[in-house]
Amino acid sequence: MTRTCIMMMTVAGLATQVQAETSQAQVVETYADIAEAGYRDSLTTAEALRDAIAALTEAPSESTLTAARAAWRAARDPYMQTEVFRFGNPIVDDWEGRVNAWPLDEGLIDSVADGYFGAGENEFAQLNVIATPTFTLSGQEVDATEITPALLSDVLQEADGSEANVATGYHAIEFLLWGQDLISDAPEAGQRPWTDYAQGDACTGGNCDRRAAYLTVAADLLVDDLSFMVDQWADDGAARAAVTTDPQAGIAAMLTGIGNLSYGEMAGQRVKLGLILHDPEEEHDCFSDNTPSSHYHDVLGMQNVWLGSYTGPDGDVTTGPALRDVVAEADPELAETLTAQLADTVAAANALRDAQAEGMHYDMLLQVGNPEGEALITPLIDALVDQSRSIERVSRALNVNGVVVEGDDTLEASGEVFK
Amino acid sequence: MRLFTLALLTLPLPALADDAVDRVVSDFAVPHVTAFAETTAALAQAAEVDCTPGNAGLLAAWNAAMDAWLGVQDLRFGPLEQGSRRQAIAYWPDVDGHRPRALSRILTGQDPVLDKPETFPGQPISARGLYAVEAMLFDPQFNDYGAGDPGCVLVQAMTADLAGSAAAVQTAWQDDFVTVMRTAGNKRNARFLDASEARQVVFTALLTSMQFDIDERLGLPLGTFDRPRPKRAEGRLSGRSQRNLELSLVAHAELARALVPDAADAPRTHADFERVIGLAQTLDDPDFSGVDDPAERFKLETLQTALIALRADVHAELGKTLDVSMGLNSLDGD
Repeated sequence: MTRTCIMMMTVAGLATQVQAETSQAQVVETYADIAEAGYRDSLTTAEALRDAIAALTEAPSESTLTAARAAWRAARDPYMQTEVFRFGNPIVDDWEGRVNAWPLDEGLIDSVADGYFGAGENEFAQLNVIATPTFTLSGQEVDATEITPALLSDVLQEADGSEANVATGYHAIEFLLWGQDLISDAPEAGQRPWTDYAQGDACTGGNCDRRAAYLTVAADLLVDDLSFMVDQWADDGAARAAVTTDPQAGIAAMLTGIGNLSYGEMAGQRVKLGLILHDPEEEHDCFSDNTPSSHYHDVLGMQNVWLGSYTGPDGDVTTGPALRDVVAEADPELAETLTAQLADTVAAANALRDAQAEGMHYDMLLQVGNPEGEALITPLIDALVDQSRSIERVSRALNVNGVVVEGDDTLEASGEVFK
Repeated sequence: MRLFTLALLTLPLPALADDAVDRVVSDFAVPHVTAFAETTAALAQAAEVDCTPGNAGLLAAWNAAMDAWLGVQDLRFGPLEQGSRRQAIAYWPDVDGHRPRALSRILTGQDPVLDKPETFPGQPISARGLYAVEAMLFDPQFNDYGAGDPGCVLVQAMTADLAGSAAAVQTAWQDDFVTVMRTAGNKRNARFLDASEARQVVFTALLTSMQFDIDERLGLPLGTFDRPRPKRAEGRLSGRSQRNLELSLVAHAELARALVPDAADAPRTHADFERVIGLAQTLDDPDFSGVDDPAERFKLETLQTALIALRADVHAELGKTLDVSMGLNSLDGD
């Protein structure tokens, strides 16, 4: 009798354990599904952007430029929701700089206003490759008479070891569609005229053919890069395999992503630093003034991963067992806290969108002496910090140590200092 | 930050014993924030007496404040992380060149702040704090002002602002955060839900500061072998690069010993900190311009490698003794 009881308890214990493991396996499956759907929507909208850019360069006009800008904004929404896959997934981290590097010295690409500085030490901050068919880089003569994918990706991107040399991705395209935003005390984005793409005598800004060629190549590269990332999360993709093969490692990747995006990246670099540097160029989508939407979709992406549900631009929903569910089993109060904190963060980011709709653009918030900037941006920073503490607690509750150590190569350094 | 204003409820919270946290608070945090408040107050006074860059008293006072900062920098939690305090005190690195732009904007009168120096704390972090004062005192682009020039008013405003930040940090530690740390795990403590959370923030801060030395203090000037970046060295203008690193390492060692005082619990950490500090002291490369020279560069690379291994030791040994893992840190963005 006693023996039977013990056996039954053991079996019950095993069953619970198996169930819990199944649950974690399902959670990482949902995570990979959301990643695949998010990158696929990013790809589809980037293809629409490429087509809109083709229409602009083939028939430049106010309306084709406006349509291309609208396509860029539409492409940003799903992409920003995928930023939460950074930090925990090396495949994403190795690739991300090609599509979303920021901030950039845009003078590398095209002409800029007088008095523009660029990064302090970047010798190529005013290269203006669109106007410069040949130049010298690290002692080598570069032939840029034809603007090719290799020129952008292999030569100009991070030229001379400077991260401010961003030649590809969303922000390079954004600059070419909007131009520099030189007005930061009024609700206006960059004012690039459509005639920067006009051919013949109507061309403004010079070298309209090369500008159109650059924009076309950049759009093609964005589509290619996103296509690569969709493949990584497909059924037989390497990024999917990395998180599903070992669900515990997959959960760690999820927490690392939300945690680092919340704390080091968003709360620290991207949002707080911009506010306290009071520099309008420190807004993430600085040419288009799209930053409120960009921040909003960034934090929405974190909520998607937590709740196990993503809604694409076409209304399609990808959903499944959620990280919240496994945390609720371990610590219901913590699960509830983090759910509420993420909702607060989304609301704080949405308040920036509301302010923008009422004419208070993000670069205006960054001005010295604008108390509204602090009043609107600080709650977002605080909300991100609050939720990052809960993420640390989740890692303890799930016994997933090394939420940060994952990806910190230096901590894995072996051997002693002195032998 | 609203979390630890707890109002410290009129009723005293019973302190929970955690020796490691107690030692960090009493032996490390409080003495260092006090020294920093005192040296920055003395710096502001020296600037009031004579603001000019050739004034030996002012230079000595700035050096003393910088020395004191290196004892405070490891407190990557609590009052120093509230709002923009850390950045307003010590905004570095500045690879994008925000600082010279911000200073030029003020000095050329594009911003009327010098007419109302009391509004100076609203200025960009790039124009505030220890490194902005360093630029005014040592950068040939800025250090040619005289007693009646805008540069003088600016240095006085900067040093008063810095002293104000340091005083606010000291007050917040003594009036509030000391208790918050000592009552970690008390059910009314919303900041630290259990004692291990207070240990974890200190442990994380130490590892983060060591990473900062590896990646920024050493990594930035080292650049790559083909493209060293001597101009990116911290303290290059004042010739303090080596001294800053030495004092930084000394502070890390002190914090590590406060966390785990018994060498038997962390033998490699205790022994190797001394040796790494010894390496830093024997560099003879005050501004790290040696990154361009193969022999000097080798010494800096050796130090960096040793520091990486030491950090792994600290992570393993202290993490085990304190029973914590590393939390999120502010350097993990891009």
